[in-house]
Amino acid sequence: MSDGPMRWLKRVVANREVLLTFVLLAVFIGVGIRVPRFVSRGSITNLLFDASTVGIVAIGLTIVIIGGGIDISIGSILVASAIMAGLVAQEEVSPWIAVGVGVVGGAALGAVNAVLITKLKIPPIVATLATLSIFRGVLTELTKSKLIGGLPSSFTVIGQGRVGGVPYPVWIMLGLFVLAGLGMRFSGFGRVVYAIGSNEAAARLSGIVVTRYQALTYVMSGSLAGLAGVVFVARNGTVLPTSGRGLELLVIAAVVVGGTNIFGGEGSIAGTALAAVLLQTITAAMVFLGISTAWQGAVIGATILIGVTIFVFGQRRREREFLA
Amino acid sequence: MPSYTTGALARRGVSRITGARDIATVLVLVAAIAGFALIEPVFLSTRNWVDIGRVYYTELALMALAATIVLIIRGIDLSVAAILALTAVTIGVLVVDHGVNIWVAAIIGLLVGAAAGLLNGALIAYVGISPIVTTLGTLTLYRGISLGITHGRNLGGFPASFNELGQGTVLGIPTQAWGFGVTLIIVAVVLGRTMVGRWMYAMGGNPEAARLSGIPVRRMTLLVYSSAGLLAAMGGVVAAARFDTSRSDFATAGEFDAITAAILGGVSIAGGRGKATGAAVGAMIIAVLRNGLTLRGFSGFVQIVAIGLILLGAVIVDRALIARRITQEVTTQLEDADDAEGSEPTSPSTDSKIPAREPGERSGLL
Repeated sequence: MSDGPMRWLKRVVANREVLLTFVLLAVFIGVGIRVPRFVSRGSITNLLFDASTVGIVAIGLTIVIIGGGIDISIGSILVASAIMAGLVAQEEVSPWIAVGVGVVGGAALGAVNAVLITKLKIPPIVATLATLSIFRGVLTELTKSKLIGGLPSSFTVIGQGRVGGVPYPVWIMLGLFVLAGLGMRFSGFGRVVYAIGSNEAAARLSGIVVTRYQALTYVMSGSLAGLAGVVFVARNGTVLPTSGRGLELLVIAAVVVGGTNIFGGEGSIAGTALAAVLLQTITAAMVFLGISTAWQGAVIGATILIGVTIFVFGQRRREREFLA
Repeated sequence: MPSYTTGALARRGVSRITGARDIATVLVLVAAIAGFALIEPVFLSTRNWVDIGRVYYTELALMALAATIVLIIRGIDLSVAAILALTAVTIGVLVVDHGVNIWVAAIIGLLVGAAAGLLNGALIAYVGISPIVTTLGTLTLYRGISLGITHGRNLGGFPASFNELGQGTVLGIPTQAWGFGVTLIIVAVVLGRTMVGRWMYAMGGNPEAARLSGIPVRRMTLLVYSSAGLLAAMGGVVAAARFDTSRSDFATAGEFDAITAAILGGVSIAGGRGKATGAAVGAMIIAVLRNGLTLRGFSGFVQIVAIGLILLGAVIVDRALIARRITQEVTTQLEDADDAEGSEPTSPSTDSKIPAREPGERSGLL
């Protein structure tokens, strides 16, 4: 076992963030050699711009999953918040009010999930499966006669404006990555969420009001999906009833490829951030390499499975070493 | 000792509740049918019921059966709808692009579906990826392959004899409904009357105990997921025949409807509980709702809200039934027993008993 390269490789594989960084660099170098344009500033900016919706939503879902829950209603919350924010913004009010409506609206929908899960004790996957349908259905039905469009530029700047050549949504995403990453790592809240996710019974016995923290994670996830909805409608200028369909699957993919254990207790915002960017990078790379976009789904699916397989093997090795 | 008693009580409570739950499911269905029959005269017509069996029911019910057998072993399969589409486009590509005989293509399509399920099972049982992550990945993969090999084309124009499978009737009942009936009986018999069925419930009830008692858990996992793949693939054959074409976006988001149907039918998301007939009734509730609301001119969005609310209602009633039963049983037990002082008062809710997670351990209670 003393052969250097193998050992080095194993260590890289065992650390999710390092592994993702290497894969990300490898994709950039590999594609960059064939298509130099791919590593240009403009292309990377666009790539991050496209990753921002999934990235922002994935932060909230990472926290929920680390806490031992799951939220598959996020795509519907995003659309619902986008509709609410868009309707308010159309009235030419201050853009901040529209942002507030979107975020608070998303938080309120997250609170509905929280009540179903922590008060009525419905398993999270069933509760959010139901609200996935209900949120989208109610909002689109209530607003079907109202088309969202002609948003004032003071509002659309949130999705389209740039600072230093980088679009606002990218700054928002990066800022939230840093904030949430530090929060989960260093705050008492973060520690409690990890504790609940790794052993709920032990957390309860040590005096933590488990349901309160769990409820909080769903509200946070809702408000982040709400914010992503605001950015979405500001960027696209409109929102369709079908927008954000299937988003939950992409977001869960980013979270698990990022190394978060689907059963809770382990994971990191940094991993999620890298994975969200990686998945978008692979999509963009296929465009640059001229691979038909029809194959995108297959490549993303294969990436998820390969990424998780590598991680599972790395984890097993760690467990063996731990036991030996 | 206390934990043993609690477990036994919970089991006894649960077996009684399944009975009550089955009745409740059927009552919901009867109520929905009666409601629509009153407000919409067309609803009860033979033609409408042929429509329900053809357009709204069979493919969903096949996917719900697939979801059910996987949920019973404490797994979950998000890829059933993607497998349905993969099978349909496999048939389309083979027939249209390669001139293969339709029946040969259909059999290959079924095999592809079973193989897709087998890959799910292998990743779960042998690689050790959790079912939800595995099937999320393969959902994306199978849909992606379907889109990739068709490039978004509609591939169709099948022989009329094949299309009979999706468009014809036998004795006034849609052909595919007969097929589903036979399939349902086979699945119900396997679950209820065979060793394989008992092993499946054992795996879902307590995976660790199942493994220790010598059940070949890994091979069973392969068997169950590939059977689920095959069931979904049958849905794909029916869909191809019904539309006389195949598209990669067949049954988009159908996995959610399938799981909802299973849960409505009393299948537990936590494993070890549920019946094939329950899933069939659950799927019928969804089919009747969608058909009835469509007849009344309600949009798809109203339909998904109705389905979501019924799902929530079913689960809340479920919880309440279990909680009440167990409280009653425990009270009786405590009154009867003299040595009750040592045991903790039992919490009425069963869901809080999530055990400490071991590395790599799978739990259905996500």
